[in-house]
Parts: sequence; C-alpha cells; structure tokens
Amino acid sequence: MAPETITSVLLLSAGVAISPLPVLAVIALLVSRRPRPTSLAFAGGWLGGIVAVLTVALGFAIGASRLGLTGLQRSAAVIGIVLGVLVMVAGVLVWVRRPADEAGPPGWLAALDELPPSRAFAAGGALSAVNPKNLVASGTAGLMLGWSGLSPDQIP
Amino acid sequence: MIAIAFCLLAGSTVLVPVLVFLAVGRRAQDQLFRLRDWLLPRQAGLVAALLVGIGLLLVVRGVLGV
Repeated sequence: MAPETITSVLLLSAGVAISPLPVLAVIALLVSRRPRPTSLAFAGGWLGGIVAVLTVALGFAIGASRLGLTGLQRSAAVIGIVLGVLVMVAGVLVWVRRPADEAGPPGWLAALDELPPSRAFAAGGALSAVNPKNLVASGTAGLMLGWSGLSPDQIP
Repeated sequence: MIAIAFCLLAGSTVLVPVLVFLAVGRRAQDQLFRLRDWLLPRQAGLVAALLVGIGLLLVVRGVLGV
C-alpha cells in the first residue's frame, strides 16, 4: 500500500477525532443524571456514523472502479481541489465568527442533561455523519482507500 | 486493517472518555471538568485549524494527482 495513502487516511482520522463539539457533548452526558446509557448511546451513534460514511464512500469507490468508471477518479482530483478550497474557506469563517472569549458555555450543552439515550444516539450519529468536517474527512478517507489499489481483503 | 484503524482512531476522542468513565465511574468527573474547561475556549480555533488542514490536504492531493 502506498505510504501516502496510509498517511493521508490517518491524518483524516485525526481530523475526525479532534472534534471539540462531540467531546464536549460526551463530557456533558458523563456528568449528567444518567451518564451510562446516554454516553454509551452517544458513543455508539458517533462510531456508527463514522463507519457508515466510510463504508458508503469505500463501496462507491470500489463499485466505480469495477464498472470501469476511471473518468470519475480523474474528476475526483478536480472535485477534491474545489472541495478543499471550500473546506479551507469554512475554516476561516469558523475562526472569524468564533464566539467572544467571555461568552459562557453554550446553551445546548446544558440541554444535554435531559437527553434520552435514543436522542443521544441520534446526536452522536449526526455529529460524525452530518457534520461537514467529519463527512468530508471520512468520505475522503473511504474514497482514497477504495481507489488505492488495495485488494478488498486488505482494506477492512 | 486500515479501515478499522481509521474508525477507532476517528472515534477515539469520544470512546476513551466513555471507557474511562465505565472503568472508574464518578471519580473521573474532575478530569472531565478540567478537559471541558480547557476545550471550551479553544473549540473554534481547533475546528478552524483542522478545516484548513483537511482542505489543504485535499488541494495538495488533487494537484499532485494522487
């Protein structure tokens, strides 16, 4: 396997891992009234979202190369550049629009105290599969793996 | 191998606090509060830096054609 692929995939996984929002959410759940069921449900949803996005992107890439859609792989380079620029712009916007230092903990953090496990699961899944940063990172990792030329038994 | 490693690494920051709590229970609370107080003011900066980093990775890979 190309070492660049491993490096890129691991960098992308760090990009998902370093997500302050879900970490803050899981801390809030762990100090809430029912820490065990809610935090386990949240962690399950979070991991499930990652696995789902990676699997879909991986399946898409493998399916496309089996069908001989090599043009797709070429246009993926162009899409990657456009997406990369958009993601960088989003990063700058996050920084420019960051809340003032004196702003206290956001209101949603307190709301987590009463969250039932089913909604904690959904929140975990949404933060890993719907959040744009994590969607792009896991999706890109899946596409890279699918197009890396690895045999299918080497990928899982 | 690599796909499982990706999922576990990507999920680690959420999984580890839960596993620590399951192991030691409420005794982990002080550490959790400390992590929260460290994270809250740095949240936007971390996300911004990562978005720029991931974007850069995508652009570089796209330009190099790998």
